[in-house]
Amino acid sequence: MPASLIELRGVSIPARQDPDITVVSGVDWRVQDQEFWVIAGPPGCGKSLLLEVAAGLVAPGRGTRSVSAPSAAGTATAALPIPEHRIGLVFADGGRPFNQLTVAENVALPLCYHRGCRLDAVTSEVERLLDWTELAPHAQRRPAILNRGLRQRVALARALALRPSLLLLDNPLGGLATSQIRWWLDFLARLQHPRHPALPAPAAIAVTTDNLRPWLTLGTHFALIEEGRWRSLGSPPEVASSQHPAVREMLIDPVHTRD
Amino acid sequence: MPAAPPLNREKGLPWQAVLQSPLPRSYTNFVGQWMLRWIDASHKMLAFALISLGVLTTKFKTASAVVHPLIFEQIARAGLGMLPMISFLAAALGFVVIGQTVALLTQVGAQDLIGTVMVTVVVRELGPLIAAMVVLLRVGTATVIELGMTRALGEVEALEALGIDPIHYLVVPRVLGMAIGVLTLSSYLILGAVFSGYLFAFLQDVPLTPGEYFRQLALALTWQDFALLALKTMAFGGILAVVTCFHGLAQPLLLAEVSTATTRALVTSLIACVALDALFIVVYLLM
Repeated sequence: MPASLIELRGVSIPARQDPDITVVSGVDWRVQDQEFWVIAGPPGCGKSLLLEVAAGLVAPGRGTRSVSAPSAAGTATAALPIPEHRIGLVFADGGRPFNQLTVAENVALPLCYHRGCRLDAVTSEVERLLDWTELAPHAQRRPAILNRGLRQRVALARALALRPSLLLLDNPLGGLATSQIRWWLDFLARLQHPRHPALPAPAAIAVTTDNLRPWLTLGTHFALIEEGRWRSLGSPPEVASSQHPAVREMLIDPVHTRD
Repeated sequence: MPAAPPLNREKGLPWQAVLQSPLPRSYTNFVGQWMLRWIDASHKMLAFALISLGVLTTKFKTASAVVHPLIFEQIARAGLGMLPMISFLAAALGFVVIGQTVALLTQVGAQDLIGTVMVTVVVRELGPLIAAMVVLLRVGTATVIELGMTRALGEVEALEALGIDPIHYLVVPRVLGMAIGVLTLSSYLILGAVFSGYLFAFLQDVPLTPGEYFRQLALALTWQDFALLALKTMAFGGILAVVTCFHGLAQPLLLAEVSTATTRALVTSLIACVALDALFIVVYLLM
């Protein structure tokens, strides 16, 4: 059995404002190569906090978190630790790009910080990432003047710049127009099954959502956070046939399916 | 019936009664809470300062191609960018303080004290303090707002998610920029005030030659003045940077709280600089 890229065992997720309050408990989550995880739950249930714990930004209240890196052959080696930044995280609600930098500088910053080079020394790599994410026309603009969908793409390009093994996306489709949703689903499908060898495709992807429908074709593993508990939902066919009320609601909710 | 409180034998006062005096409970609570908050904030700020100093020393060469340009940017912002304002203040200081002092001392025949007065008032006190206040108002406020927005918009977590140390990327350039900025601005302010002061004295027909004026200044200055000036101004800059960065960055903020954090940072910086200045006065008196 391949080793996991990241594993949360018996983890409880503390609240942002008060670490003594547990938002989600009993999280047993293991992500392996080639997996595409979809974590569903109503707004405010703790999905974002879960990703922040997985990314190492927030310490779990209880339980253990372990991270390992893929070996050269592409399989993970549990004993080999990787730097935390090999886990890419794209935040919700616009992705939190750095507004004082241009789009190109946003993408160049993590590369240059870790390589110790000037921001203009990675132009070709940045241009390639901006081409893939269709941000090239906006390269010299500040993210603050872009719309929410484009800002989120800036954050995606920035996260991919470090070639993460695991890409975590916090509600990437939230509040996006139909065309933007289609772009994200197409791009994530390309990341999942890359045809271009230079595309910095992560070994695994995990997204959070409050609408399961768009993810049924892409997701390979599904989970639900409901009433402070983590519940594994299984594969897409199991989700589609699930009679769980929360799952049914996230599959047929007309508000979410208008797009 | 309760027993009578014991008397204070020395002063003949019932000390227990004094302790149980009718100070309003809410007032004592207010003072106590204020002091506890002050101690807690000072403790956190000191910890933040030590962490920043640790990062500054251990990561100075890390990602230098990215961070060093930010340091130069901050030096330009807190130093070069303030030159017009400092030139204006130097002229005003020369006119208000030096021009009048020189004229007055000359009138009463105390020309020999001109150098001592200049060094005490301008070099030791007003120069560093005014430069620090200018940097606080022009750069410190902007720093709290910038970092407060960065914090409130979640960009600090975004930096951490990319493996970038926020202290290294956001705080270290500002600490160095403000420390060097206050040092250089103080020097320019002092030089400008001394020259413009003599200019105003000259315009008032004060019978004092430039040679005599600068000879007295040179006699009143010691090497300790230069060393302490450098130390004091860099300490002022460091304090301004640490306090403003702390209030903007070191605690979770909502956008609506940025203005409150800015006010608090300004007041704290002002008090800290005055307290440090008082400490240096003691050093000067011991010299």
